This record gives sequence, structure tokens and C-alpha cells, in this order.
Amino acid sequence: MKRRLIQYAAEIIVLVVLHFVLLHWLAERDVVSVIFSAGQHTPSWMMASAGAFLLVRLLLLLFLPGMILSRIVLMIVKSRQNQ
Amino acid sequence: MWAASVAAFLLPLWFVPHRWCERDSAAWFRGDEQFQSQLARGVERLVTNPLSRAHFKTGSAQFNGEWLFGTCLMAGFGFGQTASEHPQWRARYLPLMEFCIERILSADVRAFDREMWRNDPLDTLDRDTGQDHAAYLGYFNLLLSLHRQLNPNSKYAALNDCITSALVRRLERSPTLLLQSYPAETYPVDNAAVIASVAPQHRPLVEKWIARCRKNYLDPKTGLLIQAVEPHSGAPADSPRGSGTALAAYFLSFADPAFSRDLYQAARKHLADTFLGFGVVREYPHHCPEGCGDIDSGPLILGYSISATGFLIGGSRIHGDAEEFTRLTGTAHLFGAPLRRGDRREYVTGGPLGNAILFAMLTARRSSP
Repeated sequence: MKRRLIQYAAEIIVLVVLHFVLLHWLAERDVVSVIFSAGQHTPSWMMASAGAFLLVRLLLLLFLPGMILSRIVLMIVKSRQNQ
Repeated sequence: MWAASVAAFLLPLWFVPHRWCERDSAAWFRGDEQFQSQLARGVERLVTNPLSRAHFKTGSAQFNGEWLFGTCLMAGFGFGQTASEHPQWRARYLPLMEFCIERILSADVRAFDREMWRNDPLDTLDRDTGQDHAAYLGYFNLLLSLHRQLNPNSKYAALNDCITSALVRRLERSPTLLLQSYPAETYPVDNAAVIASVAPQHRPLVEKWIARCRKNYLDPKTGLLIQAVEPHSGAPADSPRGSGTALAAYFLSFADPAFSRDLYQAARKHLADTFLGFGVVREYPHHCPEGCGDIDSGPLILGYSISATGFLIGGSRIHGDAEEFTRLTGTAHLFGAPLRRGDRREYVTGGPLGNAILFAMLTARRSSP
């Protein structure tokens, strides 16, 4: 159980750090703003970077709390069944 | 076991993210000095850096020009509104507002309008040749009127009077009481800015225009503003839409808070929704066929419009609707990705135009009850 908790914590930290790094890196280069003003001349690497950032952000802000809680619930139920 | 796990996943999804994203909303709603000054510094950086059409990537030189103009315009409103809400900052923000006015006056910013009409909007103020220039002149004149309200000795007073006279003359000659933004293109939302800009000196015309707009340019089913009309007959040429209605509610708050409130309430009733607790605004009402999004609405996601959602933030603050304001600013936080760097705050996904629009909407002046 302890190993699992460490694994979950590591995943959360990776996600938070990835979001932080992408946010600052992309902001410096004014890349993400193309996503809401995308036209025919927007380079595809910019669109891809912006899309990836928004995916990470949505994963972090929308789904992370549920992912953490559901994993904890699953872990508790499994450990009780094993007992 | 799996049911418990799924429930544990869904419950926080419903209750946690929107509350987390709404945590700054109360500060924005009450006009917190620190928040407003941080965003003002962010927008200041964006507009005072060399900014040209080339910075925008809409794929159309015309739209790039409009976005450059819109950035300077909305930043100007934001600086003006911040100076109005916090008079102790006037000495700092009025010069920034004047910087925006000078940029709008510059040849490169007004080029988009000149290219469409094939003559300059400011060179034709004394002539009425059917070339209305409603988009450039209406929006710009409203900014000049706000500047004059904040500074009665405004150095732009003569220009403001000159544009006002031209717009009033053209409106009075128009059988539809609407001016064309571009040749053969007439948008009631642009005319909302025109009428708001002349309101201080021409109240009877404003009353007449509002009565005509209520009768002819609102959707009878919903009270939403028709996006475009035929230039000569005034017949609808597009659907009633969220982006136009929400933006008109913002501009008309300068001229007629009651009509602005009606437009806001119509948008709130027929277009505003919630998704996982976040506030979102549809571009088209349910009885209209949905388009796929254009330069006015931005990309539509499940029918929800980025522009309409952003513009309605202004309406909700103007009309004291804290509940809707909170939901909409939560969405702006989620998708806008605000980032504080030192004493600056910028919305990372906004770019110059998105930040300027959010600045104007988040600092929109409350109407008196």
C-alpha cells in the first residue's frame, strides 16, 4: 500500500511540474495564445504545443482530484477484501 | 468496488475543479486593487511592446488588422475603467489610455478600415458619401468619450466632437438608423458602440435608436441581438447570437443601462449554461441552426462560444450578477491559464487581444441600480 501511495504521489508531482514548466515555457514564447486565434498560417508545432498544454491543464485541474480519490477508495476496498 | 471507485472519481469532478478555479472571482467582482493593477501591468506590457498586424495569425490581413485595433481599443477601455474605479491611479492609467488612443490614431492601426473602404475614416468626417466607417469610428469614439468623461480637459475633445457630429449626421440620414461597418456590411453590435459614443450629447437620438433596435433588431423569441442585417432594408442577415448580444450589452452600459440590462438578461436566460459548475455561453439560441464558429464567436466547443463567454463577464459585473460572474471567471481561469510574473498577471492562452478583452470585461464599470 505504501509503495502504491508513493507511486501516486510521484504521478501527481510529475503532472504538476509538467504543467508548471509548460505554462512558463510556452508563456515566454507566446505560443499558447495561438490556440484561440488559430488561422491558416499558424505553424502546426505551435498548435500541437498549445493543445498539449491545454490537455495537461485540463487533466490537472479537472480530473486529478477525482483520480486521486478513486484510487484511494480502490486501494482501501482492496486492502479490506484482502484482510 | 468499481461503483465506489467511479463515484469517487465523479464526485470531486463535480464539486472541486470549478470551486478551485473560482477562488479569485470575489476579488475581481469587488474590484480588488491588486488584481486589477497586476492585469493592467500585463496588458501594458503586451500593448507597449511593438505590436503589429504580423503578431496575429488569423490567416486574414483584414482580421489581423481588426485584432490589432481591438487590442488597443479594449486595453484603452480597461485602463480607463481602472482609472475610474480607483481615482488615485488616474495619473498612471490615463497616460496609458492615451497611449492606446494614439496607437488607434496611427496609420498602421487604422489601415484595416482604410483598406476596406478605400479611404481613410478620419479624412472623410466632413463628407457623407455613404462611407460610414461605423466599426472604426464607433468603437474609437466611445473610447474618446470615456477619456473625456475621465478628463474633462481631454486633448481629444475636438476630435471626439468631430467624429460625433459625423456619426450623428450619418445616423440621421440612414433609413435603418444603422451605419455600415464595411461596404454592404451592417452589424447592430457595431452600431451599439456608435450610439453609446454619441450618447452624452444626443440623448433624443439614443432614445429613438433604442426604440428602433428593440422593434427591428432583436429576436422576438429571445430578445437577443441580431448579428448582421441587410444594409438597405435592415432585414436580418444572420441569426441572433451570443457574441454580439454580450458585447452590445457591454457597450450600451455606457449609454443606457436599462437596455444593456435587458440584453444581458436575454443572453443569461437563453444562452448561459453550466458545465461541471463552470459558466459557458452558447453562440446560438436553441431555435437557431448552429454555425461552426467564425471570427466573431471564436471556435465553438459543443456550441459554446469563447467570445460570448468572455464578453458576458463584463455584463455580469456591470449588472451586479455575482453568481454568473463567478461561474464565468472560473471558466476564464480554467482555459485562460492566468500566470503571475512579478507584479504582472497575464492570461497565457489569451495573447494580446484575449488579455485586453478580459481586462476590459473584468474591470467593466457597474451600472447604478
